[in-house]
Amino acid sequence: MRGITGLLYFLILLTPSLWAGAAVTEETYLKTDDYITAALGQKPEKPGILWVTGDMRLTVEKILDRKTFPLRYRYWRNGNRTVWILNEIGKVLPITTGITVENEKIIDLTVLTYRESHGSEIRFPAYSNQFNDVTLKDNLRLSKPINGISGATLSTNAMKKVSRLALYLHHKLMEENGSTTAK
Amino acid sequence: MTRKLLKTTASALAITFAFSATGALAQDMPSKEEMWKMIQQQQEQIKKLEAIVGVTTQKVEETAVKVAETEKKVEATGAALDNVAVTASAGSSNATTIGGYAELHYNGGDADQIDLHRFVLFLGHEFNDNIRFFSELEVEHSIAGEGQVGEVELEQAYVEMDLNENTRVSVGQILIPVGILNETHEPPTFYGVERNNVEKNIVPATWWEAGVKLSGNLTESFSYDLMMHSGLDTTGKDYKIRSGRQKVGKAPWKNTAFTARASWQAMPGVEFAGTFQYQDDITQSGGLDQSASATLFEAHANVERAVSDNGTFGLRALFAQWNVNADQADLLGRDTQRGWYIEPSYKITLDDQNAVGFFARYSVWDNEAGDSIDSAYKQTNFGVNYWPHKNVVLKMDYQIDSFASESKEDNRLNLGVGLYF
Repeated sequence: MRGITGLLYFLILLTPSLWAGAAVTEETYLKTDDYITAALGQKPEKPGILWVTGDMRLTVEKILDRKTFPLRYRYWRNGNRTVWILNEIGKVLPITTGITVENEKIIDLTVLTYRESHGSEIRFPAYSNQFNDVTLKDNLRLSKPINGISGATLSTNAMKKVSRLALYLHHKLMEENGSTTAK
Repeated sequence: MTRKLLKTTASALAITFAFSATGALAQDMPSKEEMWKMIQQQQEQIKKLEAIVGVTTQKVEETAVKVAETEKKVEATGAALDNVAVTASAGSSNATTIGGYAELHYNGGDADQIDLHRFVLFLGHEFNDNIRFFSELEVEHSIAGEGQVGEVELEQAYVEMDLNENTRVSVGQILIPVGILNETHEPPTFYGVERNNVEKNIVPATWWEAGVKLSGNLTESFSYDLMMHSGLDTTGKDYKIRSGRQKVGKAPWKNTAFTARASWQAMPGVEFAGTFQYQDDITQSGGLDQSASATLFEAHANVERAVSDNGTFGLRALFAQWNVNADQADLLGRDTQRGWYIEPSYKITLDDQNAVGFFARYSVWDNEAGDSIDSAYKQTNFGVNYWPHKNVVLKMDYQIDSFASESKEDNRLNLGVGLYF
């Protein structure tokens, strides 16, 4: 009985915070638009679409390390700078990440929505800044090692996957437009 | 283009006609009647060609409309397929997700046994970007039921709600925020076939309770967890902490437990954390005379840092101690229960998926550390993990026991395979 009474007190204390939490839902949905606009200076009216054709699917599967059937990826572009919004599962739930690539290098990686219970530090610059200036090597690995977050190994693996995927998709897009040499 | 060609042809004919009407060439030319007939034929042909051009133009316009319509249909089909693919791979919000892990162990030595130690299924659902559900259902030792060695257990089942970007609350059956392994114990994430004995016997992992947990980040590197939850019940179990876990099955909750954890991510791959827990009665007596208050203090460091392109240095070190305030616990030496371990490791990444890692661990634990009798368990492990895939691991280690009670020692080889998906 004492336990349940204490629990009720705890819940009552949390109530104002719960109402405050309900109010942030819309802000969370707008975050993707904000990211794209900040990354490109302005948000293009429509995203571009990169279709996954031919051998691309096999490469995407290799990067994501699982069977998948990607049809296409949306991107936002301004000159040689592209923005990719990608989802990948950490332990159980998807992590939504914005990645900006320019001239085959990541110039920003930002976790837009983190849903896992552990490892939320992954959202902060101390972790995400490690991806700045990272490129994709010929063997589809990142050009430098990325340190993880303790207790969130699976989420950090997901971050490495989406960063490799964004670099690969950027490369293919530029290749289609004749802006780069074949990798 | 065709119209222009026709006009040019007509003009050429007219000029030809004009020249033909003059001079000596006239006698070789067709008569006026013949010429008129030819012109009429040409006019007829021009009209036919104009009609054909008109039809062609109309068809081109119709084709353009159809192409636009087809593009819209492809876009709609693509969007639908995107949705199917994304939902199937759980890459969207509002998704129900499934995962799990399993580990099979062979224990040599005196045990000399094979054991499918754990098979676990995760099931999660995201209601919206701010509210999600997570659960973990486990079968231990392969078979469960009356008189069987295994168990079916629900380890986690809770709803988590984001209060704001840096704060969230969880309600339900939750893993206690303590130690390194209690919350993250998928086989590919740790060294050694069996989970370490300090966290097993002292923490005691895996440990879950029902309650409410508030978690958040104070700064980019400091995070905290505050949890109010059901507690241990050691009644009839001589204050042995591990045996006091009730596993939230019609569990008496007459006394509440409180847990607080602070964690510092000094840099990516370097974490220091400490947990403090207080229970005013681990016998759940509701304040009767047999009450036994207890405190748990746990601190650990967890390091995993890249030292080269292919090399990662790891270090885990943990200390945990229970203090139980009860006369009976004093008599049993269980007023103090403590343990610690240190585990250095080195992992070599062979290629995109393959890696091999080596480790050594020294552990000491004692659930009767409160008396002067030597009852400590000391164990040295060393071994290797091989990852043929990031989520699959083959393990081998050798353990050397040095126990106060020599009869319990079992120096042995352990083999294991573990996976996560």
